[in-house]
Amino acid sequence: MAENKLFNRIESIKIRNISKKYGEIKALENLNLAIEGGELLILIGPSGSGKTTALKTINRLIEPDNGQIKINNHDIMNFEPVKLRRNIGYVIQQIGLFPHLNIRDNISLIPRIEKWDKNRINDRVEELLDLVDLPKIFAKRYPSELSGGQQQRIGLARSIVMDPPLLLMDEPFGALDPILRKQLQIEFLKIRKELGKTIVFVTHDIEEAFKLGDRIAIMDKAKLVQVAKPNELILNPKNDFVSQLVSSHKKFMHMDNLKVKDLMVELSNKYIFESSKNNREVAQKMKKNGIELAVTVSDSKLEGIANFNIICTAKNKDLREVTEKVHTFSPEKCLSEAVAELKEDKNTLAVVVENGRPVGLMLTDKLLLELV
Amino acid sequence: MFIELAELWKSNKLTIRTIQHLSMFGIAMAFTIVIGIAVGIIIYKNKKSSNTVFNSLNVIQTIPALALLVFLLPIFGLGALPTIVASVLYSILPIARNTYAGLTSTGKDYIETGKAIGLSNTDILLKIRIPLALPMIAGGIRIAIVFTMGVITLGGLIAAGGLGAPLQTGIHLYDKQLILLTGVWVGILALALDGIGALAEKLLSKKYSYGNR
Amino acid sequence: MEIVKNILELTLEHLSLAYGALILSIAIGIPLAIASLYNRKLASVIITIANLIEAIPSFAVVALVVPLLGIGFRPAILAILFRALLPIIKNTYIGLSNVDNALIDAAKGIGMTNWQILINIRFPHAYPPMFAGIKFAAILSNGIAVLTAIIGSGGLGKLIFEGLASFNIKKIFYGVIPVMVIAIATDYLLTFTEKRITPEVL
Repeated sequence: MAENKLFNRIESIKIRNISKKYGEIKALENLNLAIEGGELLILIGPSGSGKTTALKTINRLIEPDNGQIKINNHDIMNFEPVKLRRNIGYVIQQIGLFPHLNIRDNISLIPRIEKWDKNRINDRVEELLDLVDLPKIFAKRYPSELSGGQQQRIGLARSIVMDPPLLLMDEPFGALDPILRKQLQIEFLKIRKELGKTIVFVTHDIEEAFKLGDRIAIMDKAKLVQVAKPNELILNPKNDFVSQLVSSHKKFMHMDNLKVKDLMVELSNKYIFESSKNNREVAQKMKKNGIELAVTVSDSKLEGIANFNIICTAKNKDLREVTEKVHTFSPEKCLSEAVAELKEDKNTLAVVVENGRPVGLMLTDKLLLELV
Repeated sequence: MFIELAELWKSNKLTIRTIQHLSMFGIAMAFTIVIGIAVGIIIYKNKKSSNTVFNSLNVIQTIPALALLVFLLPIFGLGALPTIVASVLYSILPIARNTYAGLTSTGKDYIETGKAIGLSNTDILLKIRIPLALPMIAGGIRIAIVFTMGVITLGGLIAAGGLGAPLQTGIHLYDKQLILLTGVWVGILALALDGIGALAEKLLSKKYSYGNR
Repeated sequence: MEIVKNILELTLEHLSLAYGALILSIAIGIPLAIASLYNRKLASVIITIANLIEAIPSFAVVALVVPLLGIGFRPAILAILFRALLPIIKNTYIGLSNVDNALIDAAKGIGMTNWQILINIRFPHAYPPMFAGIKFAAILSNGIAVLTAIIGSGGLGKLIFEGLASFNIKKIFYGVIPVMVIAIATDYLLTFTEKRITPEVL
């Protein structure tokens, strides 16, 4: 039997102007959202914000009143719902493992309906159990014999049994205790890398959103408020709602999500001196500009830094001779790692370097002010 | 005393009567279960008809079993056939009602998950709703066992044989020993069958319950 | 005309047999249910017996009355009582005991006596299941009252058994039709009353 593949990979999902009303209650209002192939997009917001409704429109569990959803430029209304759903994995918080089927049969429900042969089913089940880090003997167990975390892993395994290029997840870790949730998030990130699927993920946990999401779409009162990468949300929240949600005023909570470039001080030209220059000349300029630190370059490439006091005590020498080595970071470096490195070297300062050129300064005291 | 009872058992052919009784019971139950579940599913598919069907089945239930049995005489005559027909008519209701209730009460999560992973409506009925309704259907079957046992015993009054026959003979001859022996034996059989039904219901409920919720 | 008179007489006998036994069952059943409310042991014994007896075919119960109590109208009443009593006790007990504990505590808190709680709180809550039990018992009584004709209780069942003995279908139907009418009328009447009463108390 030919595989009922609608798409081998997701190029794009375009949600255009969809709305949904339940009686007088608006569940979704003019939602526009483009999801890129391969990304993990988080839908987050308070309950009733429309995030789950939005998710369910993608596999036609909910049909919007108007608007259009296109996957790879095909209107999903042209696909038969059952067929569409077999091409889209789905994991929910309530897990939804069927209590009357053992794990093998839960995972292989659709393959059995599509009449895969027995060996292929067994192989696939074993492969998936392996992927979600559960022993093969679990195939014969019933859901009631499994812990919540194990059930959730099976739920994930079942959702990808048909190898769908798109995965919809509705608060998949929401019912688990916090420590288990963190553990599963880490495992999930690992699995995600192996799978390389496009994922739309609903959560109300902002920490989870930052940890897992490539981009985060924030919803409130049936509307999309802002969609952006995590660091953009922290640095440029569109309004108070977003700012509150991401706690942008408490940036220290987001060290993992911020990069060096987000909090560096941009380096203006007045700080930069050619290392071949004479110290007397440099000292004069520095005094005039009211600066006490020189970043020395040679041929635009960073050499190091020099302190005003030292430059003044060696006025007859070239700048090169008083230049000291300095810690450098790439602007893309994760902020938390950068801070850790600075702390280890007992440095309070580092230069941010892009293609060898100094572009910014990283000052620990300034950093502290920004973060707290 | 024991020898006396054995003699009584033998002279009244209670072994054959028991076999007749259980055969009628088995046949009637097989039809009742199949028809009951089918009716439950059909009503589930046509919810509008549910009131009409249940009301009709209810009316049958209010009629005394003996009245129903003799009411069928002009159509089926005497013997095992009308007994089985009456028994089936009488016992469909609990199974149909429980099947219907079971099918309509399947957890919303399961239905939505089923839909979401790409099951068709027929698949959802066959692979999710019906299996999950099994404990409730078993509950209906257990009630039907009791009903069927009652009607089959009455069959003795219309020449269907079975254990109702020696009961009738005992009453007619005012043979207290025969009545006691047969009556107690019927009671034991009924309780045993009810017990089996209860056990099946319990096992199914256990298997199909969701432990870690 | 003779037959009509006969049917009417037997109908009367049937009704006094079935509903005499039913009224007796209610009169005995409800106090027993109240008693089991305050005695757990009694309650579990009654519920167990009720479940067991329900499983035994009526015909066997009727037949077993003969060696124990003989034949005639009174043993027949006892046979019916035996079966009709249990659903009434069981349902009344379930209704009375299924009242929210918080409600009982609140009633105690405002100083109600056990008796007042029973009358003013437990009973109004127990009406629906109690009524269902009585309805079930009424249908059972009607059914067994037909059957007890075989042990000489008289009533409409007599026509049926006589008709069966002589294979006189006409006679059988003289008995069956009124029995069916009574059954359906009883059910209808009780369902109607049930609907009238229930909203008032809830």
